[in-house]
Amino acid sequence: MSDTISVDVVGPSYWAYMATVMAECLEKFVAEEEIRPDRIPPAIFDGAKEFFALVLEAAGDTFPENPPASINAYVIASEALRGASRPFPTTSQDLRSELEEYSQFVDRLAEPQELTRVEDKEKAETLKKFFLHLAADGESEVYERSVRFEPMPAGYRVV
Amino acid sequence: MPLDDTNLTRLIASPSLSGVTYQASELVNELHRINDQDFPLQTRLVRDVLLSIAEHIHDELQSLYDPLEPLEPKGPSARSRILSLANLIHELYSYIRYLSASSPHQSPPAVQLALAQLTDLHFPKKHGIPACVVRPQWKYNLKCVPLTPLLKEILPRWVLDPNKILAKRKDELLPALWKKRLAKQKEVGAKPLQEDLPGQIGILSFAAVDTPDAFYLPLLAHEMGHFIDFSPPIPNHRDTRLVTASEITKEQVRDVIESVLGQGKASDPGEVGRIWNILCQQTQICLRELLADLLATRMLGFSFFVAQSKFLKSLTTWSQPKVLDSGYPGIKFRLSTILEHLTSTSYKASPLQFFRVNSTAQPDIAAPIVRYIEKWQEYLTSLPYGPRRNSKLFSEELAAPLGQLVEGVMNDSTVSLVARLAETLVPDDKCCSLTDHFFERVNLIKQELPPSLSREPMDAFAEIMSASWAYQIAYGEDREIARAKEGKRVEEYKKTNRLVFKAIELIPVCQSVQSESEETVPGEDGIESSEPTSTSQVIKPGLIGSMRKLFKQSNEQESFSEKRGVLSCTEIQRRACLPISDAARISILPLRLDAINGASLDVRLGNWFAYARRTKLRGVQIGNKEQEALLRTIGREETFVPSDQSFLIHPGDLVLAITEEFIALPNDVMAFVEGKSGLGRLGLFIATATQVAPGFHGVVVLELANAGTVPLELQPETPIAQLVFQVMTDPVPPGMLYKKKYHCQTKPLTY
Repeated sequence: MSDTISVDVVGPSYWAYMATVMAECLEKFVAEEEIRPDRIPPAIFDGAKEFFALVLEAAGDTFPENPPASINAYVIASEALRGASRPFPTTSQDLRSELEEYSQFVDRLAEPQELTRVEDKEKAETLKKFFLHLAADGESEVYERSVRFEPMPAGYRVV
Repeated sequence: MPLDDTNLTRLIASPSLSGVTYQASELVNELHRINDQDFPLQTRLVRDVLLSIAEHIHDELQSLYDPLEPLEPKGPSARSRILSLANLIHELYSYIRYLSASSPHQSPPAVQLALAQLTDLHFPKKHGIPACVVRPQWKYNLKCVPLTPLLKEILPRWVLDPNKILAKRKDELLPALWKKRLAKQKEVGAKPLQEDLPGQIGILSFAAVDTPDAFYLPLLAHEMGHFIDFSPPIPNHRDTRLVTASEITKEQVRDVIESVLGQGKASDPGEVGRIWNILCQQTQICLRELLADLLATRMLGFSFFVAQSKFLKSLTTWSQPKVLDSGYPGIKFRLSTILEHLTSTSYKASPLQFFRVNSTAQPDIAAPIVRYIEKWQEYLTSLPYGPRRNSKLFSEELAAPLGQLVEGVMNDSTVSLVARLAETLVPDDKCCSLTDHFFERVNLIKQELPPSLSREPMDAFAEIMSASWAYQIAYGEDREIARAKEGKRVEEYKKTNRLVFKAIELIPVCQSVQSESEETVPGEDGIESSEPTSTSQVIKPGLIGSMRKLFKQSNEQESFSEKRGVLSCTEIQRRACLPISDAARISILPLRLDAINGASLDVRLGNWFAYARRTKLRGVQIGNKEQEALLRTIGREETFVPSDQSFLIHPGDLVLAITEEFIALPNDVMAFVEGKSGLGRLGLFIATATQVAPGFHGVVVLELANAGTVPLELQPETPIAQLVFQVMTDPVPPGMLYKKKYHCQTKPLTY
């Protein structure tokens, strides 16, 4: 029986470095009360947008265009959200709204602007926590994979 | 730097940049061990792609070193980048073992040749020229690692190039890394394998090469099917129509959970999402596997069905559900899908139809195969699907209804969409079809000859495999049972395997040596054929028919048994062109017209060489069977040299080589192997045991010795020796014909 590696089925480790840098940048922005897009390495910013695009594809009720990639990203994002957001959304609709808000905030990081409004700073803090959880999930996935000795299809999570 | 408290803490908390950089440099070194001498071109191309990434990782790690902060990377992002780069190093390391295993020492070259055949014929080049490597899989399973999409999608470009210095877009990164390496190579004067990044690279793992079992080679086509599937940016099995047809919604998942566990039990959207994820992955895997099966069916036809059924039966029982927890289709689902496609009216080259049409003309072969296929149809129709039990993914009460969701979308109309997709990817004009030469191939194996034609078509591999399985069903199993009494059942199977492998090895030879200007004349069998107009030509099937006619007319009254002595060119031709089943035939595969001299046949150097290995053997006493066996096994090493490379024989060396031609002698003819005087003058002696016995089948092993003072380069396909045939006073009685250990040998060392 063939055991073909699934492409596009990536685990949180794929996003770990992007998430770490994003969290670091958000921390600086909150501290300096200013969003400075030039501080985010361009490929990192692309990565963050790509991540949320995939997540939102699967968060809706329609079937995503690239199901393995989107659905994996959706599951990874909801895990990270579980750590970042209190309380955890109780319906798919709430979960989707929360992720959409994060995505919109990421989009805002493309333009230089002040970060002085309390709710914006709170949002930046929550998003930072989200990215930190994503990074931590990624690093622990690498460890789990390493101790299994055999590379396994990343992101194929069994419940 | 003083190891004070602060520095000690930093030392403890930070990843070791030196360690990771060392790993990167070792990765580069390991990849360089995949050398140009021992590995096929495909492997070397994949190596170069991996090297371009590995060398960049090494450069990046070196640039992270900061003399002002030698113990600690600057901030969490630098630490995370080191971890991510280390992770990439480990990923790339895991491919090295794949590449190492693709050396001809571990993977029979015939397997790589077969794969090259399939790739040339079926891989859609619009997505890039492919380089596909085959390697043994030490577990009993198969795997396709489509490296191109993996490298493009899985290597996070923000780790390799966070500031977009090398590439602006994600699909530009690999070409940029390739270009960077190319520039470096040129700086040091090294010659790159090719200027452009290979468009598609993949590694196919293959269980049957562990034992080399030619009958399982058709399974390669399933893996090739995956490679084709993954060639476009969005894999083919994610075709919009297929995705829509196999869609399972979150709502359906929620409904199932609530109907089984009760209202309000599906309140956690994360949990619903996770279950949905699993079900969607199952449908995707199922579609992927069915598509690969159907692509393989179209590429290899009948042989794929037989090989797949034999293989799956040895892995699992019939009582499997339609779709397993892993998403893989169960054995009945797979085989039914393959067989239905193979026998459907939409399959233009239906083998069932072919065998039915030929069952009167070829009752010994075609009729049993028709019965075999019909029996399979009956069996699969009557067989129920097994129950879904012991799910590792879902609780007992959820497993069945969730499984039904997946099985529900994998219905006839979805399968039919997969079939339509397979028809687009391997269209009718490229679909495996059996020709009139199919039965000739079966009869060749029956006569203990490789199922090889003197001129092979592009899709020869497919027909060779179908003929081999047809032989096995019609005759092979019986012959094995007959030999079981003498304890040689496996020997019979192994012999057939050797013949099949030899036929595959001969495919490129029989395709490359062709006349460029030919005048067509109809052959005996009505197939358009041609007379030779150049002196270098492999005899074509139709031409043999024409020659048979000529010889029949001119020598109507002459009997072979009346002619004694050394065979003249006319007699060699006459005997070589007899029908396969004629007892007087001298079989020469491949047969070249220009190789026949006045009184001899020029034979060419084959691709296999066995040479001495330095060992601790103290000496071998001639006649001591045990010591002789040690010399054969640990004292020698066998290697395959591709036709575009050479083997170097040093002064004083003794090398065992083989003729490219597979020879079979009748019971009244023997042959002598003679060296070529031109080569002798260079110092190359064919110090062979010169006699080839009547009834011998196989390649002739040549003991080549370099008695000169300079190393000599031996290139396969060079004319190396000549065979002189002599008719004996009386035919050798059947019991005295040569059937000993070198019978049907195809390599220098027996195995």
